[in-house]
Amino acid sequence: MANLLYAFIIMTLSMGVNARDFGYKVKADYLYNFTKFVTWPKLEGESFNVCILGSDPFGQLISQIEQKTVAGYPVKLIRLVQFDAAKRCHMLYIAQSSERLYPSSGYPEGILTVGESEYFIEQGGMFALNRIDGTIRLKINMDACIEKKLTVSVKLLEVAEWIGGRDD
Amino acid sequence: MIDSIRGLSIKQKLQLIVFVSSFSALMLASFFILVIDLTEFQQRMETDLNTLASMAGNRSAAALMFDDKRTAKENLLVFKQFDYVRQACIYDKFGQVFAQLTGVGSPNSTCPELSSVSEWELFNKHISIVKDIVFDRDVLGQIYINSDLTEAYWRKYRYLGLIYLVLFGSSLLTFILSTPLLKLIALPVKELYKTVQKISTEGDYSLRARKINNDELGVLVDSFNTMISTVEKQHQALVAAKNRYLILYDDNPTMVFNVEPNGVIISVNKFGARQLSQSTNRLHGYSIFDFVHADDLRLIKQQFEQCVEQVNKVHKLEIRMTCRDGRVIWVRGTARLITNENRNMNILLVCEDMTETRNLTEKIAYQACHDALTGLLNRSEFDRQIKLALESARNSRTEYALCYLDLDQFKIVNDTCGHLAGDELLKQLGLLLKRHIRQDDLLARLGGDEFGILMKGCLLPQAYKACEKIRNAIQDFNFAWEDRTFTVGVSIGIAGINSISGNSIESLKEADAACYAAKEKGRNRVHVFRPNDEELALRQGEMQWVTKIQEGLVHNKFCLFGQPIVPIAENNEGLHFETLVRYRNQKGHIIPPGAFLPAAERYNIAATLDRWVIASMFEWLAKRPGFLEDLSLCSVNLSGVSLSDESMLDFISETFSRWEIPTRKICFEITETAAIASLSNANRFIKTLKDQGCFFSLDDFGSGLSSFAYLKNLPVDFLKIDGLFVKDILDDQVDLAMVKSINEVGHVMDKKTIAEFVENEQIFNLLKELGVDYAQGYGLSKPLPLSELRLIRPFF
Repeated sequence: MANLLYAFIIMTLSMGVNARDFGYKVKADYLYNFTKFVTWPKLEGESFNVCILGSDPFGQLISQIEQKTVAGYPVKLIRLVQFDAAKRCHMLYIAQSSERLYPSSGYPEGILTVGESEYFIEQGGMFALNRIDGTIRLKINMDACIEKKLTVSVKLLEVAEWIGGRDD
Repeated sequence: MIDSIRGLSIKQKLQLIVFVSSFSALMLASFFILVIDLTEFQQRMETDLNTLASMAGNRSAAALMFDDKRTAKENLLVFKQFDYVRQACIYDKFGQVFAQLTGVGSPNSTCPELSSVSEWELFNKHISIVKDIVFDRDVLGQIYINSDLTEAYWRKYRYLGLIYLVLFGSSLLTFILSTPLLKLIALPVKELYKTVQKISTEGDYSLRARKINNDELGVLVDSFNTMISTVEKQHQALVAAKNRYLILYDDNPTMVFNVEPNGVIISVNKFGARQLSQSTNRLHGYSIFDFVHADDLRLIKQQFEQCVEQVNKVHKLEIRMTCRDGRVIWVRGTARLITNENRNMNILLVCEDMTETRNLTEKIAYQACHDALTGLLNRSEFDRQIKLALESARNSRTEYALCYLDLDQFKIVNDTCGHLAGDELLKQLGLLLKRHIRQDDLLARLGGDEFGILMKGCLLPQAYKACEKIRNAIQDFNFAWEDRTFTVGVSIGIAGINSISGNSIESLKEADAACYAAKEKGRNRVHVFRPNDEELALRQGEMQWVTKIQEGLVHNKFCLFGQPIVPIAENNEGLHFETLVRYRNQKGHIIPPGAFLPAAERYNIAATLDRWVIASMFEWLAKRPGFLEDLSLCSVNLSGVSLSDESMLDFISETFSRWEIPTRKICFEITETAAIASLSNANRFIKTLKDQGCFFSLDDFGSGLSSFAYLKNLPVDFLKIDGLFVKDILDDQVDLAMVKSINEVGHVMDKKTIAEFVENEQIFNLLKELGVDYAQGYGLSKPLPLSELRLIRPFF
């Protein structure tokens, strides 16, 4: 009887939130979690700006992030259409579909870039959230982080699937 | 517990102190070390686990955030280094197991539900830690660590055990090392204790404790030894004093008893114990009454009662005590109540043996009233008994008969066989008399050969009969001595004692007078005294002479006569006479000596009379020098008593020198019986006066029927032949022969002979024929007053 009930609940949940949506929910959480392990060179302005470049895969799944704070700054979610506007961002998420908008270099310091494609690191991105064996895995480009004056906590490095530079 | 410790020796106590203190310290330290160490260990373990859990949790925060189970598990791998960690689990915020490390101790175990995990407990071998994994104030999950500390605890225990072992070892070492130090205290104390105990048990105060160290115990030992020296000296002094008193007590020649008032002996000295018992047993527990003569029991019991009643008084008594061997001794007891140390009343009784004194007193008392020779009552006791009889006669009208017995012919035995024979005869007669009197009658020896019998409740006729029997018995009695046999007679005088009798002297005089009368009547007969008895008048007169003589001596009522003694053969001798004494009575009549001389002799005044005669005669002669010049020899009679009178010789010598009488003109006449009665006295007397020049003549020679042998021993100058032979010389051939032989013997012994009772010329001539030297008698001259004496020459 209990097993039957448990099966029913699972079925209901999978019907409401599909597998793709579940992935972005995790990624949304991850984005916020990153703020806890990464130290920015300077935090200015009125808010901690989390920017999404290009098409937004999260939708409402990330809206809750705006209720949180980072180092005392309220989190502000900004959706960017152009990379040029990313100057004021502290964290920039670039969906796979929008990677073409992302320039591999030349963007200013103090912006943590997070991507989702397998090649994002090669393109000069800092954090990559890849789906491997059904699990979202983190890859970290330490060279890029160092270059852009971002300090990554060792703890984060521990959970990272891969750590290296663009050429590795 | 503490009581059982109290009984331990000092050494054991000291050991116990060291042991208990070190053991307690060890135990306490061990306990606290254990508790503190274990607590600390537990806390450290907890802290360690908590720290590990925090570290692991902290490190796993990122893993939780990024769902990195692998990393989380890697983080848990650090616990593998800690073998006590059994399980390490990380739970996500939903309580689901996120990562786990299992199989360290039990491979198959799985992480438990968080809700079932309990908190850790003190000393619990299993510690479970659950910690939240917090990152940036967010609880990301929990970390759970389960540890099994059994092994760790064992290691801890082993470590502690080692520590305890070391501690115990060091305690033991301390104990062993402290033992010689303990000895420094315990040994002197033990030595001191041993000495004290030995002194206490053996009482040997010469023992000294050994000093071992110079510490306080050493000073204590020195002080103890000094103290014991003092005790020893005092003890010796005490023992010496005790011994002195013990000797005083035990060897005191009196019996000293300490008795209870009921007579039970508490103690007695050795002397007393020896007196009453042959054993050395001190008679403890016996009753003093067991040793008291039955007749004196009442006396001593009364005395004891008085002792209790009169506390402070000393009571004396004389009692007899019976010794164990049956001997009865007389003791003088002194008793007094004393209070002993327990406040009990006892009686101190000191008994002095006075048996000898008592016996002596009794002997003296016996001798005082008994005759030594015959054992019969003596004269004084007999007198006393007569007085009692007189009283009794007056009071109860009892009649008594007083008998006076005088033996006849006793003198013969005495003279011929000696005094021993006479004494023996008296003894045997005493026994004989005893057999012939009644039990109530009293028998006494009154003098030489005189006896008295006091017959109680006896009338004169009965007494006469009894006396006749006695007289017959004595007459029939034969006394044998050295092949010779004698018979004696007795003259008995009886006087009655009744309510009208006079005093005792009178009664005795009456009996004496009756006895004299019996003698006068021819001896060996019984005469009863009757008042106005003519036969007794003379005798009574003699009794009255006693006072007359004494008065006469004082008032000069005696006078001297002389009877010439004439030489039978013709010679030129001067006046020779015998001095005779006469009494001149109140009427001026001259009374011849036959009346008073027996009384004088009987009542012991003969010597006094002799002195009077000598003194008067010498004085008379001294005053008549012419008479003295004509005087050839003057004879003076001496009684037998005078010969034994010690002072008579001195008196005679003194009188000689006083009146300057030539001793060669005086001749003393002594009777044969008087001389023989005390031969040695007579000899000495004669010799002394003869040495001074006096002469002696033996009077009445022949009448005593004594042996001529005596004559050899008597150095007399004259023999006076008894007139009884001389007067019948003409008719009686025996008398003639006697006179003849006496004369011859006398002459052979170189003695002059004098014949008495020469009453006529025929006798004178016969004597002349016989060769007798001198004659005296009425036929020649009567006794004349001295002044009328003349030299006569009859029948020539």
